[in-house]
Amino acid sequence: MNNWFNIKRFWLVLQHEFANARIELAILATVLLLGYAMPYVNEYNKWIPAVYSVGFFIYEWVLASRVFVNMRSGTQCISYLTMPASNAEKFYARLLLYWLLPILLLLLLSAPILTPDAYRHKVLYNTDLVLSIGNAILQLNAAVLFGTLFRKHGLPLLLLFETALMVAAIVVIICARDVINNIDFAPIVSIVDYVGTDLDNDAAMGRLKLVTAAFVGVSTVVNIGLARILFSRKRLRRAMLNTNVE
Amino acid sequence: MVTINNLQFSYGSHEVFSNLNLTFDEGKIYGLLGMNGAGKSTLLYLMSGLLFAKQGSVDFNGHNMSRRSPSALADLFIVPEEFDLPAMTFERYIKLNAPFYPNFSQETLERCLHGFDMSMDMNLERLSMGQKKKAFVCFALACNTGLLLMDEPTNGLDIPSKSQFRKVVAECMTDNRTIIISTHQVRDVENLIDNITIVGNRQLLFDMPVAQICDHLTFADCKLGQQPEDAIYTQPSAMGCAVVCKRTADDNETPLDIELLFNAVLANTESVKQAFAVK
Repeated sequence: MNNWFNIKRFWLVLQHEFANARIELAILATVLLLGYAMPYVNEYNKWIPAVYSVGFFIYEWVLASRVFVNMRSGTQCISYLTMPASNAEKFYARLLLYWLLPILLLLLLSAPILTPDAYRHKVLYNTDLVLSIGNAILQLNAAVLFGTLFRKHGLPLLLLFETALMVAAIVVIICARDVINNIDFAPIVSIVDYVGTDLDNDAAMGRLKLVTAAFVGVSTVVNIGLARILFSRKRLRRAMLNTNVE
Repeated sequence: MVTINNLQFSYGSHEVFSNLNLTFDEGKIYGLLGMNGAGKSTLLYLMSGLLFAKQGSVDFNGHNMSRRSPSALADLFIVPEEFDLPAMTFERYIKLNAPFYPNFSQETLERCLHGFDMSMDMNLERLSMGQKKKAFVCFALACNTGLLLMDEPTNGLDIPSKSQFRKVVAECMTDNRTIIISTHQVRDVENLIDNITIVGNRQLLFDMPVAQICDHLTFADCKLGQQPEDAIYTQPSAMGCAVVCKRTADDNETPLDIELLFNAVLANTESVKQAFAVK
């Protein structure tokens, strides 16, 4: 028997995860529904991308705080850790639910095939589809990592931490805007867009996409790799030791 | 078979086990006893790979349990003292969890449920603690795992359910499975267990098959002041006093009094062990 990864076991874990993730799926459906409906209920203006970006960011906070919602007590840990599947299967099932699924649905939502008024939806997330997807992936990367780091603490500490990070990033971006000459970081591009960066220039946009793609790629590998390590058996052991076992 | 080799485990500076060596064979039901904080639950968690030894190892059928490999976990089930069941129907719960256990038997599940006067048609969210425990025990037994660990399984069960529990577990016992029951409620598992294992003081205090215990020791009540001189252990009882004696060739076999044996082992471990040295 393959003790590292078995597709049949992975499918069973996935079914298990989905059955226990009603709240996450409900939140996801709500966010996507709102995102889909927003351009039809409001005339587009420059506030919408920023509002939706902040909304998506809050959604990520909530999602990140729930990545380990079933490992907060000793009794929950016991049933999850003794489930006959490898750590890799459990981690990737969770990654799929909390990282890949939102991205896929976001792509689906943005795809012209499903949205007759594709332009409206492109501008909903950002000035460019590639950037908007990059934006979402970066936020989701952070969610996976923060969910692992703050497994025990849930939403309040995450909110504080991510808010501090976001404020720091905005300050850095705004201060360094002139220095980096039209190349901005993708995660807060909609906010930068709102404060007036000129992205109409094709060359600047091209550079921005390149930087975004590289940043997204590297951060995906690093963040998910880190999260995977944090999900390792030593960390899980700590989860058990933190419970009242005598 | 579970083999524990030179196990050392501690919670921070509090050492729970030091050089513990122990074997659990197939085809037996073990009663794991010990005082509060002796490490009974910890031992079960070490056996199921939930905790890792500082030194030494816990092997189950050749699997090092600290690796918690899926193939080992698929042949192991733990019923903790307290547990969470998701808010769903029992049928849905079975559908989601049973495929993880290759030897799961629907027939055994239905037989166990029948033994507890329960049916498949129930919502786990609406069950009382005792009913949840019975449903969980039924699922655990139906998984037909080689190793079944139960931590205080009769806690929360009503009086009829305790005898039903003994009956159901006995019916599900087979020659190739090991059941370890950690409990303080020794009366609930009397006539069910084949072997008594007592842990305490960071080590194994006593580990003996019930048949061998009855072969070497007698348990009796006598009036105060009339206790035999060679009694290994004496404690006050309603009749006067309860005594544990070494059984001689002339003595008849007496029923095992687990509570008395447990107290005797804690009070005078060496004397109890000496009774088994030479008959």
